[in-house]
Amino acid sequence: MTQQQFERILYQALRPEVAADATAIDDRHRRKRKGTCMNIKKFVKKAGMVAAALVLLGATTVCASGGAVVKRLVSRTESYRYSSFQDMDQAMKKAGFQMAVQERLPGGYVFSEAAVRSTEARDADDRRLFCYYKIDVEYRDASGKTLDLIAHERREGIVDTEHAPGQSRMVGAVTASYFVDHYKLVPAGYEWTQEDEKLARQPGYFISEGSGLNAVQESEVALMTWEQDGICYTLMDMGAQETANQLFAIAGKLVLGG
Amino acid sequence: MKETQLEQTVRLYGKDILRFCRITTGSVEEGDELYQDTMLTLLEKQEKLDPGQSIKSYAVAVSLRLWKNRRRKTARRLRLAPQQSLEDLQAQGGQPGTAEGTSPEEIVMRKSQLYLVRRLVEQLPEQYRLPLQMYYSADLPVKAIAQILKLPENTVKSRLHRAKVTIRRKLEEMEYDTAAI
Repeated sequence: MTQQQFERILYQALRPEVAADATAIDDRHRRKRKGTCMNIKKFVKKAGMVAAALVLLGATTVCASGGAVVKRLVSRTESYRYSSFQDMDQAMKKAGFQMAVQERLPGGYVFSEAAVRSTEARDADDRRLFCYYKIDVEYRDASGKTLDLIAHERREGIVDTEHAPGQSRMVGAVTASYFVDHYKLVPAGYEWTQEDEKLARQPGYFISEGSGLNAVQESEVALMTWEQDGICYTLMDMGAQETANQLFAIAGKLVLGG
Repeated sequence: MKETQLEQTVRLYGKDILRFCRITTGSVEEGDELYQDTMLTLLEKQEKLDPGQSIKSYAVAVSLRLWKNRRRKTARRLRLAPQQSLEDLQAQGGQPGTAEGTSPEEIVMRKSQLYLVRRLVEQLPEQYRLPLQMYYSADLPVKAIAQILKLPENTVKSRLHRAKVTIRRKLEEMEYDTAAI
């Protein structure tokens, strides 16, 4: 291969053709950014993209489900997004269920955005068992810290955590449970060490592979889960920055309302 | 930057910026979303734009920052590693008109070979991959890449060189057939 041939290959590979009309600024996007858009923005329409857009969830869930066994969950990357708290009615309508939600949470967290995503439950042969929606509400405080409140209808065979909680407390009439999970994100092709094998067997320790990573990243996530009126809630604190007490207080605000 | 200036930026550099967004994210859909965010950020940050600054370089820097933020956020929020969906890029193939008179089989082969090269680029460590993507996809000069990445120009040059050597070596190891391109 000559240098000229090689340069041509790189040029062709890294400069795919782009249609001129694809560069136009999308007005819907602009309105959404300005926070005035009440419309849903649906991102992916091409059927061909669907298979590529399926993403495996990190944790494997194994439970009975009407005779079949849910072996894993696959979440679509496409989402319906809502940029204002007033749009939550639309989000719940899209998801097909009502959830307890607040615009402001203790600790200075304020509604930032919401997304509705569909998730597929699959069996060991990767066959689809059923599909359900999740609503992911993101809250942000003044320093940029985020909390995610994720809700879905209770489905047989779906559990949001697989191990025993670190703490459980009664919040109103429901039991809220607190967990801290450890995530190790590794680059594609990463070779597991013996230590990894050992750690991956521990409850709450997950190793997940992604081709976009160049180095191993580790992160702790604090989770608060509860169920109320047939809806399963998970409050997710990336980086486990809040204390357990603070998360129980936030769960209380959501459970009790007001 | 006023709206008319944004339109001018889109007209002059839109394709390069969009191409960079798509290549960097590895997905047409995500790349298009990143491009839209980049352009609107440009419009919002008008007061910070230095008149002497290259708008194209600034746009690439903005898109890079937005993408890194989004990647981190997605990885954490969804409890998984960032997803890559290169199939749509693969389906696009490369520049049209560079392989005249090819049969459908050859076109498919060419697309898969370009896909392979993209995959090899994707597998490069970020410090080598980004300069390469900026150089080829965004068509930025070394000087601009150095400013965006806050690196000396010679470092950018050496990283570009090392990235190319790595990809070329891997292609040769695979006995890559350049004649089909």
